[in-house]
Amino acid sequence: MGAVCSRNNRNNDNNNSDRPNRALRRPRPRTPAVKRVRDPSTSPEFLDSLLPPPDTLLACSVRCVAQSLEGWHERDEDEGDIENIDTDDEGDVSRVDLSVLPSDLSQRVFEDLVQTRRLTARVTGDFIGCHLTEANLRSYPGLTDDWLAVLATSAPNLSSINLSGCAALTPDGFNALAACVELESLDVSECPGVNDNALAAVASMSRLRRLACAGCDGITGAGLRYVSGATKLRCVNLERCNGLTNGLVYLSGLTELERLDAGWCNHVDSNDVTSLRSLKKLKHLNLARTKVDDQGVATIGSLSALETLNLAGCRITDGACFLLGGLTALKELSLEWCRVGDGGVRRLASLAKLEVLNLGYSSVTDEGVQHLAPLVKLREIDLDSCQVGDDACKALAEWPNLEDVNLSDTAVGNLGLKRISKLTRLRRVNLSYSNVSDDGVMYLENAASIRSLSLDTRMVTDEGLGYLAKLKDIEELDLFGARITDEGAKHLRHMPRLKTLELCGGGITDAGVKHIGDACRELTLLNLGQNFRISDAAVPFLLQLHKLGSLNLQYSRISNEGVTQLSQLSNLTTLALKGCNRVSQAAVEELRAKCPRLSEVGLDNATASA
Amino acid sequence: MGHGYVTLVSADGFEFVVDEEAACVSKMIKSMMQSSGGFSERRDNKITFPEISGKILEKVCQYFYYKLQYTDSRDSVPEFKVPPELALELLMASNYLDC
Repeated sequence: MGAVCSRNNRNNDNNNSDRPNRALRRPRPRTPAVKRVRDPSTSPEFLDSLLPPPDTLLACSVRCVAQSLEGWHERDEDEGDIENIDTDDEGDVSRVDLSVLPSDLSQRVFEDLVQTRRLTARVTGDFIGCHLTEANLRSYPGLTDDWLAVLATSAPNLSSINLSGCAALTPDGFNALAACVELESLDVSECPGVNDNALAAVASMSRLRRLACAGCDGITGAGLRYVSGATKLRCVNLERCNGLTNGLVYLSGLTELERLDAGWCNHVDSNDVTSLRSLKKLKHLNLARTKVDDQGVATIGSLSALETLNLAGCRITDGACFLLGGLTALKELSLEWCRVGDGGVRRLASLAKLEVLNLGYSSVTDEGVQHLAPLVKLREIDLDSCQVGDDACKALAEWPNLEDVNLSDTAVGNLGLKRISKLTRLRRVNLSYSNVSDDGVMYLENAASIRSLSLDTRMVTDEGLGYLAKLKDIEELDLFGARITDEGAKHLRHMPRLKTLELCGGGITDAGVKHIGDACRELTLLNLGQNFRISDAAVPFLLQLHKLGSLNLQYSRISNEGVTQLSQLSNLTTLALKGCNRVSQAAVEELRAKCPRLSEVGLDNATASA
Repeated sequence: MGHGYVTLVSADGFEFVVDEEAACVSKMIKSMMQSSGGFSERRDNKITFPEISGKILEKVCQYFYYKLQYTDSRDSVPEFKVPPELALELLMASNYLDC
């Protein structure tokens, strides 16, 4: 059972235990679900029993107009079908004339049609003369070139179109957009039909301020020549355009450009970046994982308006840091996975406005971090997997605004934690695989500002968890590999607001699950994998967690009977049951039938998806 | 605001007498009733809508009572039926009345 507590079980894949894959196995915590605002004086039980209020008359009318538009066309299509020719006078109902509506109301009707997926090419044609200004057709099913042509003809005044993820569109369809000369925002991200020719439509859009083509592999660079005349562009997103070679040169005349995202463009290199020299207003630049090296940074160093810069994974060295030191407007900088060390990092001490700095997986050590002590505005520091220890924490303690600290996979121990525990604004603290033990956790006793804490290390036990009783507002707690038993789980009663909890050290039994079920009613994610003593007897306690969306019970002793009962968790979307050899595929299918929202169930090595 | 009645008058001269509470489902009417600026509407509790026909205003009043009945209700809320031929005008009226 040596593998029982191994992190390899956390995800079903990525089983290599090499360092680089750690990042893959530790995804960033999800954004918490939107909180429902409630009057605290009213009991939730009462409010839950109420039904949503009736729709407004406006919403009722919008829906009715949308329905009659759709109905009119259906009747039209049914013409000639003998069974549908009625003798009633409904056929006299005149066609709905949307052009009598003020444009904001026809816009509402259009949006209702889109949201309810009732919009068709013919209904789109009804909006002629309505002066629609926005069309958000993101991932709209069945959207074709002809349909897009109807839209462009009926609504030539559009200022914003979102067609991202519309897979059926071809360059011909996009070219119809040339009629929309007033467009200010165009989003064609993730459209496989976008290529150099498709971009020709952009040439006529002289008012364009925002263009997004993320993930469009068909753009080779030559297509960007059509963009070169759109001199009002403020924001261009070319992220993950893997066909892009030598294209950035066409952006050199876009002197109003404030934001350029070319991250993960595999063929963008330092020569391309040279063309950006003229973009003096550029504030946000993302070149993560491109082929940019120190030579490219020489250009970037002259873009003095830059406020955020992402060079994660670029082949840059300490020499580049010397050039970056002049970008004194910088607020956010990522040099994650870059080969920079102390000699380079000390050059960053001049960036007095810096608030966010990511040096994760770089070669920086304690000495380099201590040079950064003057950066008192820092709110976030990421030193994941760096060769740093307690001495680096001396610098961290100098940054009074520090909120987010990542010291995962470092040599930071109890002394280091003592140093940073005096900071009063800490919100997120990651100390996974550090040298922190129970004695160090004690220093967090009064750190009540913390909302997210990761103490995934074998040296933290029930005693350590006991020191966290005052962290009443904590929402995320990762004790994945910590040695927590049922006794320690009792302390969770002090943390009623927890939304995510991971306890996978093997020491939790059914009694421990009772403590969780009784105390942590806000949980949306609960990971109890590798606790091989959890059985069906724990299920009633889990059923108390109504908000649970994600539950991991892998390598537990749960059986078919327990799994079937989980259908009462109506918000459940993912369930991990890998290694639960008392659970049959049939029981999982039965559960699926009862839980329409359940989209992923991991059972053994086969992850079935609905 | 004391409990009473308010008379809503359509463009074509039809009068609808409704509970003040019902009329205040319309945020626009509510703010008119509450304003202490001495609107003529406030004094004789009569409001004229020169752009809304009687047929539409009748439907609007029906909606006021529907809304009152089903707000914070434990019964299931039935759909408020809008006749298709009135939909466009009702849309404009509801937008104006803010309800």
